[in-house]
Amino acid sequence: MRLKNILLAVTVALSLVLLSACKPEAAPISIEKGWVRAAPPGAMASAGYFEIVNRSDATIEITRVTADQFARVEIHETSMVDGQMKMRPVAALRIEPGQGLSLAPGGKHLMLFEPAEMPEDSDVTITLYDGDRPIAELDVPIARSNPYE
Amino acid sequence: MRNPVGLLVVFVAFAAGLFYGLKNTDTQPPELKDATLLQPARQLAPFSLQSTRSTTIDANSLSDHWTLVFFGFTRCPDICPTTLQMLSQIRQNIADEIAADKLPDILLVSVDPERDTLAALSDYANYFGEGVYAARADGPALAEFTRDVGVVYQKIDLDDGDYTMDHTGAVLLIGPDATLQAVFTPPLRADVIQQDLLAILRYL
Repeated sequence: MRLKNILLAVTVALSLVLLSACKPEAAPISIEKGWVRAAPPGAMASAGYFEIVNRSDATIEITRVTADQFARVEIHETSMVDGQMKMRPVAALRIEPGQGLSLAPGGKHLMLFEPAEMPEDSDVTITLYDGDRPIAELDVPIARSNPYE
Repeated sequence: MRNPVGLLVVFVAFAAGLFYGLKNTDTQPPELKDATLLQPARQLAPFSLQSTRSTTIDANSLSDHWTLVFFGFTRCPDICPTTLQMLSQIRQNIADEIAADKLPDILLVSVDPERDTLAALSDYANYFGEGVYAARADGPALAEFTRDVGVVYQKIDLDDGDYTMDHTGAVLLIGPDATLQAVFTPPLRADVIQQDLLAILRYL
């Protein structure tokens, strides 16, 4: 019985490997479900979110972010420690090969400072950099709450 | 007294029935997930905050309705708007399920009075819709109010010269007569808060 299970597991694992080898190569970085929170008029800052998956063989590091319509962007993380809400800057986002990272309310997020204007239902172009090298550009909608939920 | 054992059985059955019956009315405290009901409710110490609705709020102005109080600041772009949006949505969701006089207002109390002017707070709160307003108080008055309700906050200097505020993430339920009735503790989950809040408002 045990041997049978092992054989089954090996067969499943092998077929998975073969299947993935047959798949057409996906983009090395995929970014989905991006959005920027619409902020009240006169707000000094807003937040941006997205989900990123690293399908390349190399570690991705996002050390700098720009967004049109905003003076500057920082990477921040909200955390809850002993009932206390804290928000701190994060130097970089690091995504290992094959790994994903989700920027979401209450966790890691982009902090977008000094919006020029942010009409709801318009788009913001966000560029992610590793040092000076742009690694991805995304157009994301401005919305009051997560438009993908 | 011919059959004391029989009498005892009848009595026990009656008591059990009574107990069971009581358990199934609304007089039993509800089972809550993320909220803690204060029994008895605690009278707030006198306080005075500048409000975006009227000049000041104090125990008197909170005395004729229910209020959900959240602490935050306008330069918090992530969790503060997320929470206000959530509370505003919950308020809308329960509006048809409870009496109008039990529908709570949502009050944001700023823990960053240095930067949060009344005008800034007003724009900010109005954005989250009906029933949402904000208040601020200068250092000592804010410290007094937060201490009374068990909320702490701390200014944290950042490397770039900016600063941020750490603060208690709980949401408070203030009842009529300015009494602290319940505390919702983080993580604040919309569906659980809505369920707990409805149960509390139906019970109280």
